[in-house]
Amino acid sequence: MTAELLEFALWYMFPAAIFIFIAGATYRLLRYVFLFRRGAYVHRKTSAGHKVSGLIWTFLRSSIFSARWNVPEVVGGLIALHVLGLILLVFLLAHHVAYLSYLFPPYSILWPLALPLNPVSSYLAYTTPQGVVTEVESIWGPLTIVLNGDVLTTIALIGIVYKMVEKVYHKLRGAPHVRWGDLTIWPLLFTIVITGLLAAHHVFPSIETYRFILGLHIASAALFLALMPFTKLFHFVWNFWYGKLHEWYDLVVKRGA
Amino acid sequence: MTVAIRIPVLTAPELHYLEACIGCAACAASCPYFYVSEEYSPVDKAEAARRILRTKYTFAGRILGPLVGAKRPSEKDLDRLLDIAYRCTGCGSCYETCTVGIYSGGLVFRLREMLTSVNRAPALLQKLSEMETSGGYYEALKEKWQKLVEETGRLGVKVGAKTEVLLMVTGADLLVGFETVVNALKVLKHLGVDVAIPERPLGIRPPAGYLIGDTSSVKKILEDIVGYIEKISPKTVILLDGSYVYKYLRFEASAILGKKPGFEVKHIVELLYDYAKAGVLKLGKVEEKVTWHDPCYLSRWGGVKKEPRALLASAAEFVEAPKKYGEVACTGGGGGVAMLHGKQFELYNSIARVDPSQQGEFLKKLSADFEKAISRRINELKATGAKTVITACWDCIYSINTGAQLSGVELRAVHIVDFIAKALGIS
Repeated sequence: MTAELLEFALWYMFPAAIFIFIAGATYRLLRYVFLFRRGAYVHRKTSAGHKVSGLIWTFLRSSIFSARWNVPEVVGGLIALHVLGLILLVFLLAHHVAYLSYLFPPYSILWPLALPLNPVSSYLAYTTPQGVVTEVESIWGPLTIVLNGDVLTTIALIGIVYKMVEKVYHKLRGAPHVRWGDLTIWPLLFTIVITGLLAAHHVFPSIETYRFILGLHIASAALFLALMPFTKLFHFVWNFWYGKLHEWYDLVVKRGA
Repeated sequence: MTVAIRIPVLTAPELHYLEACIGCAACAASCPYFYVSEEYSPVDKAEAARRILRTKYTFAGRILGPLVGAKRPSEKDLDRLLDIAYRCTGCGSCYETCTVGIYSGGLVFRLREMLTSVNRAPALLQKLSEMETSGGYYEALKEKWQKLVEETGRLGVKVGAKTEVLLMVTGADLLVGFETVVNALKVLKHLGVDVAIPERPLGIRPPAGYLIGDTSSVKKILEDIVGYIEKISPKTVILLDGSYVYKYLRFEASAILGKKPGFEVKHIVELLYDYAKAGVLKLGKVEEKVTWHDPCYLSRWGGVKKEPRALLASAAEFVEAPKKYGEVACTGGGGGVAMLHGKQFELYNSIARVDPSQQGEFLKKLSADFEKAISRRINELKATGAKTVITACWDCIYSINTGAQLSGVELRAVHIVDFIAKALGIS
């Protein structure tokens, strides 16, 4: 039964999640295409330098503003959860690079940036099912003291716990912008990260339990991926980039602000 | 029992505003009304609009309704929604401080539109919007207009003639800034500008429909104004009001009307800057410490920032106010809020003539909140040590003067044209 979950998650759930993700993302993006209306605009003429500096400021301003007025959100939400926690972990942890390279071979180009699980060495070794040991030297060198799976997972967990507490706190205070979906997505993310940590460290000695925990990790990640286009999680893929670039066009390019 | 609210057709960016909020509330501290009450943070005000919009624009909202935050309002919700909708000035500060580029104010103004569709708009603004499109304000402003025409005769300014520059005079200019209009004409004549005024006031404060989300009224008055100006065919149209009037005439009109107008639109501060840069406008030094207050619609929404600063730095001891809440700190009076307060209400109501007791509770609470909101900006301006605040929007001038009076702070807000006229010794 436990082994079945791993097999099911690996070979059925994850590919299905990728399909749902692509279909959902296409649907989301098409809505923007269909609502697009070409307008007649009288732009303010500004220099290229103004537009470039405006672009940089568009991306930086909100973070700088938040750093002054909402330090916990910047530390917990932006730095711990997004930058250090999820982005580096999801895309560069050696285990993930191996799996994603299997699904999408060109991804293996990122092997030199792969992060080891622990801080002992930047020299990565992993074993394929055929028993071949492959070794990769990542570029991080002494930085692996910080840039490793254990440290980044701990930081990500701190970020997730912060967001869970923050959402519950605001929900209890009756803030309208916190909806029930917000309260369910964070436990899901927590499950993904904690099962990943437990599996990577083989915390439970029996092979069945290990396979179950790993299966749970992949299954919950697949669920997360499938939900992404239909929830606010899509901000990472689309909304952040679209929103900021549109803001830049609207305020800087069009109006010259 | 839900009310038959009309849900607007959203644009692609508005779809983004609807569905992309991650609830980080980074925008909260940027809003002048957040300091009145946390319930007025942009993220929560926009959520009130999102709840309604989700019932049409999201699958989950259509199927699961309130479970996913999608609900059409009932009659008993409307008073509360009206309060929320009019605690926003459209300043755009939440836009710049949003981590994913959402303009929450845009959704709040859509909420105004939805409320107007069920006859829930401040009576004064509703009446102004109606009068503007029907032309019913010409008669009400006749006396003031006649007085202005007499002044133009004295100054040698043409009326309704083809000139290089047309000074667009609105009803608000006449009601709130009559002296400023006269000073503007004096300054332009002093500079040798070939200037005229139209044959009638162009709108009350066009497009007044924007304030209540009446999109058909907005289009109609813009068609009227642009059509009239194109007939006179000046090269440049100059505005005195750096409020949403500037934003709409300069940037939005072409998109709404679907064609670029045959004239350029400038705020008078841009024209004066051009003349100063060309060496035509030479200002005498006024022995005064002054600061500049950026009207949101002129600076954030209009890109006019360096021009007033350059003019003031050349004419007086110029000091910048601390920017504690983003690039532009809103007074809390824009987007029609200050028009519903005290003396300004009386001025606009002198032509609209609505019963002030109508929506009395709503107006009383709004006025109290506006008075709290403005105190924040007054503290920033006070920190400059300047006694004179120069700005370029009727709402900003009124808000600062009202706030200073309420706070007992020695500050006086004046329009930049009045200051320039003084610096030239011609006011």
